[in-house]
Amino acid sequence: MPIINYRTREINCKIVYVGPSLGGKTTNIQQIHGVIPAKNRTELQSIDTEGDRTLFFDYFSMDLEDIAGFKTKFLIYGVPGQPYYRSTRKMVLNGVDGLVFVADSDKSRIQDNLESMQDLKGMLTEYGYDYGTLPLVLQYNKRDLFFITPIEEFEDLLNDRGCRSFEAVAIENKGVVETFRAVCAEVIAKLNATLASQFGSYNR
Amino acid sequence: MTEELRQNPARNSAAVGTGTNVYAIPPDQLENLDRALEKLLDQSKARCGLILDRTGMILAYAGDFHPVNPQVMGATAAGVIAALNSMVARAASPEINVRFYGSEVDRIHFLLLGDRLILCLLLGRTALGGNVRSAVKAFSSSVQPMLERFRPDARQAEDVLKSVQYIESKLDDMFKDYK
Repeated sequence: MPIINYRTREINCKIVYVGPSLGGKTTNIQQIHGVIPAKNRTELQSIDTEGDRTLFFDYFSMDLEDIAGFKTKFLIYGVPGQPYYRSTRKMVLNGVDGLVFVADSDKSRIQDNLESMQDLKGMLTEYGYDYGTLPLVLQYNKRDLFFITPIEEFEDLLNDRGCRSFEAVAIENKGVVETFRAVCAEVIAKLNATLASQFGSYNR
Repeated sequence: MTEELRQNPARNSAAVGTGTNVYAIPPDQLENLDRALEKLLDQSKARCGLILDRTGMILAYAGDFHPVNPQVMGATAAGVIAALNSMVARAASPEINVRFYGSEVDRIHFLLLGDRLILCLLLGRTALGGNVRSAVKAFSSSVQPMLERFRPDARQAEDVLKSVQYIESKLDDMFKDYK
C-alpha cells in the first residue's frame, strides 16, 4: 500500500528482498546501493551479527527527483533468510509494495528455495495480501556455480505465477539492476492501476 | 537509555494492510499533526520526535535530529515496534511495559497512535520522565480524533497519477548504463 504524503508531495513505495539464507539478498542490495547516485539515496543500514549475517534487516531509501510535482521514494529492505528469523521477516513484510525473491542456484539448495517460497506465501496470507497480484520478481542468483539448478526447473518449482525472472551473479553485479528495475516497474504499474481504480482514471 | 512501550496485542491484528489500497493523508491533517508534535516537544523538552506509519514511513518530524537521519530512525523504530509486538504476542499478556536502562545521553519513548501510527521521541538530557509522560498523554488525546479523519482526496490523487506516469522514465535515466 503505497503512502502518498500530499504536503511533502511524496509517494513512498516499499520493496523487500526475500529468499533463503546466504542466497545473495544483502549482496543485491549492496550492489544496487552502489550504483545509485549518492544524492539519490540514504546510507545503507544493516543490523547484522558478528558473522555479518543479516539479523534484523538491511535498509536504504532511493529518492527520485520531483516528477510532475511529486517525489517518489523507494524504501528497499532485505530480510534475514534463516528459518528461525521468521518473525523478523514477517514484520518487514508489513506494508510491502513489491517483492524480489532471490533464489540460490546451488543445486544442493533447491529444498531451501522451496521452503523459503512456501514461507513467503504463508506470511503474505497471514497479512491478508493476495500473492497472486502482489508485484513479484524472481532472481536466480549464483549462476556462476558449477552444479546449478536449471532455469526450467526453477520456473516449474518457484514461478507458479509466471512472474518476470532473471539470472544473476550478484557478487559480480550481473542481473542485479535488471531485477531491481523490473520490480520497480511492477510496483509502478500496480500503483497506477490502484490509483485509477480508487480515484478514477486520470485520462477519463 | 530508557524505552517505554505499552502494547495491546488484541488490537494489533487490525494494523496490517491489504496491499491493494493507497493510503493518502490530506495536507490539513498533516499540518495538525505537525502542530501537535511541536507542542509535544515544547512541553516535554524532548530533543526531537517523529510520527511514522508502522511500515516505517515518516509523516511528520520536528526538533534536532543531528546526526541521525530521520528516515533511517523511522525504519528502525518501525522494526523495533514490530519485533516487540511479536514478543508481546508470544507472552500472551494483554498489556506489557518494556523499559531499557543504559546510556545517560539519550532515551527513547514510543507511543502507538491508533492502528497504524507510531510516535517516537528522542528525549535528550533535558527531558524529565514525568513531564514526558504527561505531555505524551495530552498529545495522544489531541491526535486521536485526527487519525479518524485520514481520507483520500480524488482531485489531488489525479496529480499523483500524473506524476506516476513519469517515474519509469526517471528510473530509465538513473540506470541507463545497465540496459
